[in-house]
Amino acid sequence: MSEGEKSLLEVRDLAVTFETSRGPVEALHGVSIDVRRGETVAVVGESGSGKSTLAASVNRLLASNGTITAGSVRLDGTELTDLPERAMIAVRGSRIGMVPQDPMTGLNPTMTVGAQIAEALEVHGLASGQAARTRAVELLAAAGIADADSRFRQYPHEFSGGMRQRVLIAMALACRPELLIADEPTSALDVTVQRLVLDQMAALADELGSAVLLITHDLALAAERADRIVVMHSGRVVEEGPSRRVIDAPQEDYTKRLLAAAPSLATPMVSAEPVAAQRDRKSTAVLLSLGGVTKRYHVRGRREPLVAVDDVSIEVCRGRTVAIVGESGSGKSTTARMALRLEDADSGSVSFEGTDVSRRRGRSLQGFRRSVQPVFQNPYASLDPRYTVGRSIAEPLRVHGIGDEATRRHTVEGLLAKVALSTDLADRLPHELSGGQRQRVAIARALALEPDLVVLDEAVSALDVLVQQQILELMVTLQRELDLAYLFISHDLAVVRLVAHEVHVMQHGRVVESGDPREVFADPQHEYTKRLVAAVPRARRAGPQA
Amino acid sequence: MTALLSLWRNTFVRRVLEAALTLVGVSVLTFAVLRVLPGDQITASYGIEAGALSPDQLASLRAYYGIDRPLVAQYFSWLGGVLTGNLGVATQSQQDVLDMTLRALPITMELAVLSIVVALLLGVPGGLLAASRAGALRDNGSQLLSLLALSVPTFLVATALSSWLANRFGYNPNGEEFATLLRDPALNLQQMALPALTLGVSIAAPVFQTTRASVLAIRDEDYIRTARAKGVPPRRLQARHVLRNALIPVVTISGLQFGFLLGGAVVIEQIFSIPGIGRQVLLGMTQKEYAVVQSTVLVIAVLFVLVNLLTDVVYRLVDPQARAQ
Repeated sequence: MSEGEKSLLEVRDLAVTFETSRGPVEALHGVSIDVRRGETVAVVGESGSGKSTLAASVNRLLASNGTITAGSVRLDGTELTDLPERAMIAVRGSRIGMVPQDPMTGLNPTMTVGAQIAEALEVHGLASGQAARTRAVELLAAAGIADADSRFRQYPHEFSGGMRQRVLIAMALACRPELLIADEPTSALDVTVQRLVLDQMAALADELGSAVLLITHDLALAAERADRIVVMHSGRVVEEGPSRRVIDAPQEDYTKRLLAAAPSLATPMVSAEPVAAQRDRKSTAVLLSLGGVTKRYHVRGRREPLVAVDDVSIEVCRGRTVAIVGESGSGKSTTARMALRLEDADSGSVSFEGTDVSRRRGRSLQGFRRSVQPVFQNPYASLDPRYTVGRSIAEPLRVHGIGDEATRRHTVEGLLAKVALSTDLADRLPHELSGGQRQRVAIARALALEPDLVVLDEAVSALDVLVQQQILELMVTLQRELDLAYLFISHDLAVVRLVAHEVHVMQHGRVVESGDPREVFADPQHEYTKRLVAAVPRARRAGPQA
Repeated sequence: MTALLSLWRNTFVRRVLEAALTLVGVSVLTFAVLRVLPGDQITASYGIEAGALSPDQLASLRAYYGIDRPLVAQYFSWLGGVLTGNLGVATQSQQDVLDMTLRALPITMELAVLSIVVALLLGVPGGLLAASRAGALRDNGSQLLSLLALSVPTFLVATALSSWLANRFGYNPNGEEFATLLRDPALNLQQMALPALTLGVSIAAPVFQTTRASVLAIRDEDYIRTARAKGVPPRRLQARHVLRNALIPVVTISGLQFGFLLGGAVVIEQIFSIPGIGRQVLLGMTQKEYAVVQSTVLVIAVLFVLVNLLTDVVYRLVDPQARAQ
C-alpha cells in the first residue's frame, strides 16, 4: 500500500465514554486507525483494551450507556459520528458488515437461517422474494455450507457452532459491504474449525473486495491473517505497523510483553524438573489411575447411547502434570469429572492411591475429596458472588471441620500469600477483582485442604495471555513447593506443551495419542493430532522469531 | 426392559402415560379427601336430625347411597362408571352428573376464553409499552398498576364494582336469571362482562410482567445486535426479532392460567351467580354429593391436561427449538 492512497475507514482521535454507576469511564482515548480498500487490519489487545468498543463505535452499535465524546469516524469520506440514525441504518449491513463473537447466540432462534440472510438483502432493497432466496443460497454455499439449498430452510439450532459462524459471515457479506468488522469471529470455536472458518471468511471478503477490520486477542492469529496490526492497551493505540514488522521487531514494551507471554510450540517449558527425577518417581507414586473407563449418556431422541468416554486409561503420578487435549465433545471434561468422582464410570476403574474411588464411602470418601481439588474454567462463575474472598477460600476448611475461626483466618492469609495476592483482598467480593485475581483465589481455595492432586479444567483458557502466563508460572512454582500433581484439561496445545510432562490427545471419547508433549506435537503420529497441530497459527507453531 | 425404556423415550407416549398417571392420582386424591372430611350424604341432607335416626334407618340410608361398601369397592365402581361414560347421579336433585357438567362446562369455557382475551389484550401491549422505555414514567406507572392488580383480591373489586353499578345505576345483569350465549347473546355478554374483566385484570398482571421482562431480556441478546448490524429498521426489528422471541414465555404462562380458569373460578362464579363448573363443585362439596365432586374434578383435570398439551403445540409453533425435540 502506498502512503498517498486514500483510506476507506479513517478513525481520528476517537474518544468513547461509558456512563456507569461509579461515574463516567472513558474507554477510548484519542484512537486513530486507518483501513484501506481491500486491506485486512487486525486490532489486537487484552480484554478491557477497548478493541471491541472501537469496533462498536464504527457502526455505532455501542451499548446504550456509551457515547462517542470526541473525534471522527469517516467511511470513504462520509462522517459517521453525527449521521442521523435513519441514515446510519442504511449504512449498517450495506456498507459495513459485522461478524459477531459468539455464533451460538448471534442468530435469531425463531427464524430460519435463510430468512435471516435474505433479510439483509431485503431491508436494503437489494433483492426480495425469490431473488433474495437465490442469492442467499449462493452466499451460504460460498461461505462453505454444503447442501445450501436444503439448509436454507433450517433453524440455527440445527447448525454447529462453526456452521453458524459461516451463516453469520454470509449474512455480513450479503450486501457486498466495503468494510467487514469481525469481532473475535472464531474465539468461541474449536481450533480446527477456527482455521477453516477464517480461511472461508478471508476468501469471501477477498472475492467481494471488502476490507476487513479483525478484532482479536491473539497476536499470532493477527500476524497470520492481517496486512497490518494495531496493538491496543487501556483504550489507546500502543503500536501499529505491517504485521511482519510488529511481530518480528516490536517497538513498544507492551507489544514485546504480549509476544513473550503468548506461548508457542517453540517456547521452552516452564517446568524444568530433570526428566530423570520424574522417571524415578513414576514407578513409585501413582496417585490417580483411570483404567479403561467408559461413560455413556442417554440422549433424548437417540436410540443409541452417546459414548462420551471410551476405554480411557490415564495415570497421574505425584508431582507431575498430565494433560488431556481435545476439542469440545472429545470427552476430556467428562474424564476430569470422573477423576473428581463427580460422575461414576459405567465400566473400568478409577483408583486413587491404590483404592477404588467408586467404593469409597463416608470417611474414606471425605479423605478423597480432601486430596483431590478442582479449578474450573470460568473464574467469574466459580466463586459465589456474595462470599468474600476470605470466606470462599476458608469454605473447604469449614466443610471439613478443620480449625476454628481464628486459625482459618490465618490459613487464608497464608494461602493468599502463596498465590501472590495481598492479604487485604480477603474482605473483598469477587466482582471487585480482575479475572486473573479471581482465578488465583480459585487456586488458593483448591489448595486450602493441602490436596495431592488438582484437576484444572480449562483453568487458564478464559484469561488474557499476560495473566495466563502468571498463572501458569504460579502453578509450576506451587508444584515444586508442594509436590502437587495436576490433571490439566485444555484445548490449547501451546499451553499444554509449556506445563505438561505427559499429554493424552482425545477424540470422540478415545485417547488417540499419548506421550511427552514436546515429542507428540513436534512429530504427531495420529491424523487428528496432526490436524490439531496444523490448526495452531503459524507464528505460534514456530515461535515469534521464525 | 429395553423395549419399555425406548418406549418411554418416545415423547408422545411418555406424555400420554404421564397424563394418565396424573388423572389416576387426581381421582384417588379427590376420593380420599371427600371421605376424610367429616360428615357424609346423610348428615348433609338430614342435618342434626341425622343423630335421631335409628341404626336400621342409618343402615338402609347407607345402602341407598352406596356408602356401606368398602372404600376400594366404592372407588372402583365409581371409576368403572366414569370409564363407561356414567359420571353418576346427584342424589338430591336426581340429575345426571354428565348432563350437569355438559351444561356448566361451556359456560366456564366461555368465561375462561373471555378472561384470557382480556388478560392478553391488557398484558401484552402493556408489557411492550413498559419495556419500550424501561425506568420511564410509563414503565413505573404500569408496573404500579400491575402490582395493584396482583395484590388487591379480585373478589373485593368484583363485589364493589357490581354493587356500585347496581346501586348507582340500577344496572345488575347478574341479578337476572343466567342466559346462555345461544339463548340470549346480548344478556349473556352483559352477564359475562364484569366477571371476565375481573378475572382478566388479575391474570393480566403476570402476563404483563412476563412480557415486559422477556422483551427487556431479548433486547440485550446478541442476535438483536446482529440484526441491527445488518441494518434492520426499528419496527421490523421489534416485530420479527424481539416480539416473536419474547412471546415464548408468554405462551407458557397464558396456557397455565387458562388451565386454572377451566377449573372454574369458584369465587367469581359465586359472586356473579354464574352456573359454571366451579359452582358445581362447590355445591357438591356442601351437599356431600360424592359423585358430583369426584366426577367434576376429574373432568377438570382432564381439561387441564388437554390445555397443557395444547400449550405445548402452540409452543412448538413459536419456538422451532421445541419443535425439534
